[in-house]
Amino acid sequence: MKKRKFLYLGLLLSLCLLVLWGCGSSKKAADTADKLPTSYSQALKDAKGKTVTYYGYGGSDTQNKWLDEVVAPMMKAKGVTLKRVPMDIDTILNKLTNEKEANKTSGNMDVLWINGENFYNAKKLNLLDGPVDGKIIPNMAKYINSSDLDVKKDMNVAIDHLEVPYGNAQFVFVGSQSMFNGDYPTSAEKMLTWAKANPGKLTYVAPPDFTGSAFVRNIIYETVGYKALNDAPATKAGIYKVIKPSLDYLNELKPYLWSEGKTYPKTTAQMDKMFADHQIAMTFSYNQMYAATQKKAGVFTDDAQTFVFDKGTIGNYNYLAIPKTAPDKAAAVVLINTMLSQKAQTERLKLKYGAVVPPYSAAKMPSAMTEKINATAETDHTLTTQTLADKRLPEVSGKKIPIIESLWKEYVLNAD
Amino acid sequence: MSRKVIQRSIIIIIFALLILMPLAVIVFLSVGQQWHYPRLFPGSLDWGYYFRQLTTNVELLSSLRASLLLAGGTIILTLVIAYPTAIALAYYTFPGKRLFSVCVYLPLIVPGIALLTNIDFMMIKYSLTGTFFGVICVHTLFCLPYAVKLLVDNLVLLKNRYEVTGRNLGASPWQTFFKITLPLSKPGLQGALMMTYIVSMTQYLATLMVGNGNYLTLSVRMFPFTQEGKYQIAAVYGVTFMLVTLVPLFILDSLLNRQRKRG
Repeated sequence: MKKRKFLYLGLLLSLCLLVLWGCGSSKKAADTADKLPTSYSQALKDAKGKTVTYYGYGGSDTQNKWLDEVVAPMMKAKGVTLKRVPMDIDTILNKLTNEKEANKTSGNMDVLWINGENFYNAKKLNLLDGPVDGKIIPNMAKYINSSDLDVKKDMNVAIDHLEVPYGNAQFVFVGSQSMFNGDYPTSAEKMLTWAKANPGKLTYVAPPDFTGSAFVRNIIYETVGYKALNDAPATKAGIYKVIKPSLDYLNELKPYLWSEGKTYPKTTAQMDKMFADHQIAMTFSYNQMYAATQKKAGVFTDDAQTFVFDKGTIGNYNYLAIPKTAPDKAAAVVLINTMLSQKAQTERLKLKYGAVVPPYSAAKMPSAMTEKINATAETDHTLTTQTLADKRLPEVSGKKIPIIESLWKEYVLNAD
Repeated sequence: MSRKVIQRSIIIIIFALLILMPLAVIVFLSVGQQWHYPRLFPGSLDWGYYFRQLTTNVELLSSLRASLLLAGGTIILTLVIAYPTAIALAYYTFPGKRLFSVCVYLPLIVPGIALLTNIDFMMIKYSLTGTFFGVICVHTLFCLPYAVKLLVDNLVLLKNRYEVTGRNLGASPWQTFFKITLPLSKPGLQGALMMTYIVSMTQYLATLMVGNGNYLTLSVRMFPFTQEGKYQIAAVYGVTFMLVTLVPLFILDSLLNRQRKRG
């Protein structure tokens, strides 16, 4: 019986220790915020021996692998440990806002993966530090023209040196060669004609899915043009007036879609599966090399051919940013520069790392990389750098995207 | 008579199907290859994929460790808080008892995201985010309602007659607690422990937010993959998750049952 008493006492004691441990390990936050380094060589010196944390969406295993297998060793060689934390951007912004409200000057996140709408919010809330530009990121000066549209604006929001592009995305269609007979619908008009002749063989992911939403915007560009949408005021009434023809188009297309447009796939993964099973003739992606990666993964076959609209498709960049509360800004700068380096970006073009096209300006892109992308176009039915660059259209303001999504829901999804 | 048996077995089969079918899909997803529409079953099964992931995927193993560590801490903290609370609610009368016993359920009633955002804010203020203690505190918050409820039900069932008798016969309060109350509430404690374990293992947003990403548990790693549609990897995590949740529970359950039979 006595033994038992000791056991319980021991349990109690271990709890006390646990509490003490918890309190002991809670680091007191520094009183002064860390400052951005003045030069890259200074950053390299200060970053040595530090740990840099990267916070970003963790659902892409190819991207995770790239960071773990390519970027992390490169950082290690510079004496910096990379810690990757999978966290969705909403939670990240939530946490940063909380840190700000609690008046913390030093948090946990060094580098964030951010774009578009979320960048607009982060900028509005004054959460990001700057200027992060070619002066402290040498690879940015080396490979990216500061006059590039995507370096100045992210979804029509002025970047003001708060973000650095690190990946290039462009909306592309992937069509089944056999189902389209090699004649791909390279305009909204052709798509409608084909759908009418082949009912039930097309569909698109329902917005607010990221890619589905881009499809709807592409249709708007086709029917009323980028300029009209970009010039429209960011109000529901204003946008409705401008995109009315596009909504009419989508409604005309609706009865000829898969299951008569009554339901839509919820994720691109679902749509990809339907495409791979030849239930539908076309899928789409924000990754230019998607046909190649999916072929490698054994999901698509040689039947899958990439194409874009003749008038072009929407392109955007992925960006990195440093929050104001970053505990180690020198290490953050080193990480961003490393992720932008030719070595890291060349590796990233490999299929196993997601085949992401570098955010380099066409004129500054190393020729080895251009050749590589064009070779993939040959063997895996993707597109050449030239075609992609020629058929690239800018994104509209992030504020307009949720409005378009709600209009789609109101006038297309729930039309009758 | 036989009609009754048939009726009952039909009901059991329906329930078994409802529970087991989704589980079977997850298992098939983790080992299936070439599973295309309209095939009902995968073209081939490859258990190698699952075990390869299990043994070579460092992330899987490290997140397993993180999950178990947090669950252990949460169990201790939860029981230490829930047990005295349950005794107070079951055996003592005090003003506001009714209100208090309803308030125990509050963590389950208030919407999680609203609660978590504010907890995160307070925790940041007191530098508790990212610490082990901070994370198990939040887990404990969500485990307490279950633990308290299970313990109270158990204690109310027993009533405190044995304790009263013990005290009458001259036992000290501590003796009464260790020799009467504690042994009698073993089933309640067992239930509370299991429930706490499960709830702690399944916490996603709490672990991610308050943990600052320092504690990458199984559920934290699994979630982004399901969002992205990487179902096979997600399923590998899912199967591992089920195994580490169910197997210890099963072992504990059978151990305690054997003990009860013997005693």
